[in-house]
Amino acid sequence: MHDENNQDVKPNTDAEETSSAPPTPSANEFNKHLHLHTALASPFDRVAAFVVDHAIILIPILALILAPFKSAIAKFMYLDQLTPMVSLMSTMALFVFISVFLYHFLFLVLYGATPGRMLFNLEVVHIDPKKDVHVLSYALRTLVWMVEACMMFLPHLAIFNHYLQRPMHDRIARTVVVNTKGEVFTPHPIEMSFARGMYSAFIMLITLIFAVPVLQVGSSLWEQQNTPKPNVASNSALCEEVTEAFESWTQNSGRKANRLQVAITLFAGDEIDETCLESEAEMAFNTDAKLSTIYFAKSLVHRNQSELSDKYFDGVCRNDKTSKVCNITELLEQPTTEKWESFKKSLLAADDSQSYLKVWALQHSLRTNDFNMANALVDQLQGFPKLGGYFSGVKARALWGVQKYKESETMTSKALKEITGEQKPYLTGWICSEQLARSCSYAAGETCQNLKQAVSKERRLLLMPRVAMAHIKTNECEQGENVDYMPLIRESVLDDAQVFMMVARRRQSGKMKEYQNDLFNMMRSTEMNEVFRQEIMYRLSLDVGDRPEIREVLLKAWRESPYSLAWARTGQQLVKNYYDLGSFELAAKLGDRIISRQNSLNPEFKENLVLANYKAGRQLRAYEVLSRPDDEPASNRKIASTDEYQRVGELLNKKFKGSQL
Amino acid sequence: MNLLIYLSSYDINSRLDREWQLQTSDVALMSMQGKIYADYVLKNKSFYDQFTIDLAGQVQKGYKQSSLMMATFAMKDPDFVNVGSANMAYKDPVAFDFWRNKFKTILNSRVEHPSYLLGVSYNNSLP
Repeated sequence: MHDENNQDVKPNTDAEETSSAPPTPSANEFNKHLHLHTALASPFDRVAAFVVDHAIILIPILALILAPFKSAIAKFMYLDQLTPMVSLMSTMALFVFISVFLYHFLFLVLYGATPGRMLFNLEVVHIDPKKDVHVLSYALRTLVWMVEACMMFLPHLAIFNHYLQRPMHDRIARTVVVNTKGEVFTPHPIEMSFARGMYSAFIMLITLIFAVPVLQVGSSLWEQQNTPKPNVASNSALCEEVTEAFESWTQNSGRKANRLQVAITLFAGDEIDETCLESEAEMAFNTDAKLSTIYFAKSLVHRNQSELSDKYFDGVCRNDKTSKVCNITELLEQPTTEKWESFKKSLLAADDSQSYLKVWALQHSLRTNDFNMANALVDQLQGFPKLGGYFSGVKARALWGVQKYKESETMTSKALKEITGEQKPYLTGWICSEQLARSCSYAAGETCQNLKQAVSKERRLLLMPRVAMAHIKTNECEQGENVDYMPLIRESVLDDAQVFMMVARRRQSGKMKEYQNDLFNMMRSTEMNEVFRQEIMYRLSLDVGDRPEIREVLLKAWRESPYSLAWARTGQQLVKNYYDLGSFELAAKLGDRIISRQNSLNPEFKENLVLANYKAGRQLRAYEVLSRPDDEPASNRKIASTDEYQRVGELLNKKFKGSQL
Repeated sequence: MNLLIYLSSYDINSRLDREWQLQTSDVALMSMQGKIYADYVLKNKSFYDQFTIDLAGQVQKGYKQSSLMMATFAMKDPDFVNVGSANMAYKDPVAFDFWRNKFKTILNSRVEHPSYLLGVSYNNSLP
């Protein structure tokens, strides 16, 4: 096309010769202007001129001029002052627009070319060489050029494919860009194709270069918008959640508490985050809140940073080592049974102003499986605003811990309607795993089914050890002895759960010795999660068989482990094992440790323990155990007691009934 | 000469950089530094521009991002680094002691920095 275009000496006859069809409007125009200009500017020269004009001259100058604007915009952004930021950005955009317009317009009017074009001997001239370009045409051309620039310069593509290399701005202003030295641009068609390909690649590259930062800015803005900012009231650093809870706590119930105490209570129930509690603690320095309370809040905020947390802990106890807040902090830092036992009574007797400490004592009770204390504390804390769901969940666990299974089920249903977020899978995981440890009939129950649905929707929940354990047990209960562990291993996301199931497969394949050895090694591993370690101990106690070396180590490990419901189950199995082996005294002593923490007894365990005590010559103790209430039955099925147990029971009743124990 | 100085100070430079990175990557510490500096700025308003004062106000309102930004400003303020941080009274003495001890590590290591050894620092520019 350009070959023909530059053959202006001779009128073009090729087009007429090669086509007998009537000429198209563009062909007509082509013929009309063919003779007017001998040397159209090379598109590459135009691109190079563009780079010089903008990348070398305009952008650096504009960047220097706009630096203070950019700095001011950044300041407004950090100060969250949107209105002045937007108005300054608009001003900046307008300034850039006017600068670019003036640059092009003035140079075109004065020299017919911008400096970049001059460098490459290019000039903007009228399409008709006999006429000059009007000033208004230059203005119009520049304006349209800028509109095209806003469209990612795509309309400029016409410099490659228009027969006179005239994009829209040239056609509207009736101009054309020519080479002033008359150098003829005559590319070969293959060269033109190559050039077009290169140009397309260049355009794509430019688009990417522009698009990537635009996308990055967009995503960071989106992220910024969705990042939870500290939920502070508009004119202060105080959290709105705390404000709401504080008002209803003090006004509606008339109870005594300051803002920081309310914040500490809400933090225990996961209703506010560290940032919020820290803000409240910071503000509390300006109020009459006690320094020990502020330091307690700060030690909670920094509890994952031991060095700083320890310093705040020292601060809490600096003035009064006997204060309740100091005692609680010590328990949370370094729990000891003696300290806890001595502190419990005074805490329960404390008034409402100490509720913020009671809620942390409640957490300590659950952590140490002191369910009786947890029940007592949660009853005192009922009615705290915003924490209804949290307390229902805690109560459900506490009730289960004291063997009130039916009440726990009711409370779990209530809690599941009230709680949200991570608390929900944790509670269902905890309750379901405990239910299934008691009886497989719970697998079809509301809690386990609820958890099953949640896990099928969100696999990441299996990262919680309690949820993972409940999931394994649910499948074991549903599928029975021949449960297929492989799909469970594949979907598992917790290493401990995978190892646990791999070992369980050995039992299925009848490799009992290897199964026992693996369980034994896993029990002794310090890296194993406590939930899995406890279950491993229990399963080892079930299948210890004739391995005295393992039995001894298991007994030692059990004795050294802290109390938990799983610990009690393992202990009950050990009592049975030693009773079956004829070690009645040992079985009786082990039983003593278990029943000291239990309000009611599993009937099968009770039978073993009564007989063990009786046969160990501890008849009074056997009668005491016999007098203990039985657990609620897990199902309607009643476990038949042995003739021996009935006979011993009658004998003990006859001997001790009516006597003071 | 430049090459000689660069080579002779390379080891110490990279060690100090590592120490510096370790300190500044501690978000809790930097947040604390931002709060302490914000407190310092608000107590000495007449020496600071409106933006710094506004930012300090935001830190007081609990904006963590602002406190991290303030922490970086603190390091560039020689008055605060050299004198202010040693003598100021902060409302939370536990936090202040903790931060001050950590901050001392940076200040001590700064003296070993080539720019200090060669006398190219703000302190050397003082009359």
